[in-house]
Amino acid sequence: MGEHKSKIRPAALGAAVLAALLAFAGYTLRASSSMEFCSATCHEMGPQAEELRYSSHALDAQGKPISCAQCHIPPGFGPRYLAVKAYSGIKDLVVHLVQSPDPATMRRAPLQPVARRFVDDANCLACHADLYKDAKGEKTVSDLGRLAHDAYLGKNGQAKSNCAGCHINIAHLPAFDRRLLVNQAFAGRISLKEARR
Amino acid sequence: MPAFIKRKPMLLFLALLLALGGFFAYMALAFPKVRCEGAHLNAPDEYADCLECHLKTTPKVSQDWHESKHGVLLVKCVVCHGQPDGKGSIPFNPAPDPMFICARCHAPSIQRMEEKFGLKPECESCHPNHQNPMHRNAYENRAPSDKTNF
Repeated sequence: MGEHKSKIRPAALGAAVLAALLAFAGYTLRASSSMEFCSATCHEMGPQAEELRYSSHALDAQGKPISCAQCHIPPGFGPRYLAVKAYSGIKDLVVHLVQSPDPATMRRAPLQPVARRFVDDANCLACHADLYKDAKGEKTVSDLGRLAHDAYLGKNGQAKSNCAGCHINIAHLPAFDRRLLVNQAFAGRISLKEARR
Repeated sequence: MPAFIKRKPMLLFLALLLALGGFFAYMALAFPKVRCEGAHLNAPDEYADCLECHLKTTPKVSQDWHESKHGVLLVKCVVCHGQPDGKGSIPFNPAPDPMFICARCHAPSIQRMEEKFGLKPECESCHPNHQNPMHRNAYENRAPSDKTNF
């Protein structure tokens, strides 16, 4: 009897600990993808969140605000999602604790390619299903856009680039990118905000 | 488990190393660092006017060229990069060889630099080809050069 008991107890304890760990992992996975976590409490992305509010990606077609995770983390709970969460979770924690960078003086040029690397096409296609119209399905894209999207879909040559490879500065605009002609409207909205403050 | 660690510590270490290596290999394959591999759409009418498309697809490089000495003097894209359809005397190359391309115009300067300082023609590392704006600090806007081609 005594021997029997001693075998079941550790198994039950192990299962309980495993369940608690899984629940904790599930909670942290969700909590560390929230808008507050990225921009206010833990991750130094305050300026980026501020710029997002003045970009064309502030609201989706239904008028709901778009959150960081909707673009920057692969969708679903598959291997891509878990890999990115593990990789950027460890990297961001180390940077936060070791360097504790100041968002206002952060060097953003080397961050751009790192961030673009993890913007999945599936995230873009979730809203932009029809690549020849805008997200609301009202306006059609320009001739140049049609040609480029033909190449992306393999109808006219084959572009090996993905969405973020061509569409840059669509939600964030650091100061050194504001002089670019393609960013004129976005830069205008940001400088208007800064002038009013 | 502790008994296993005591018996075969090397095996466990190797397994951990393999798992870590597998993780980074997956990251490199699933999320490639270089996005655009110089692929080009097949629209022959558009070939002559690189800038029209590239102001939108690679805005930084295009505008930097436009504001640079090369842009002001209208040394167009094809002069250094060739044409994507393979016609013309310059082979199409997004990253041209300075020994061949820069030397076509700047051979005297390259020769002087070699005689004076013994420098090899790696022009780009000191003279950014596109980012040489006339009315701004020349080296202020250098883009990260190792990961994307903007």
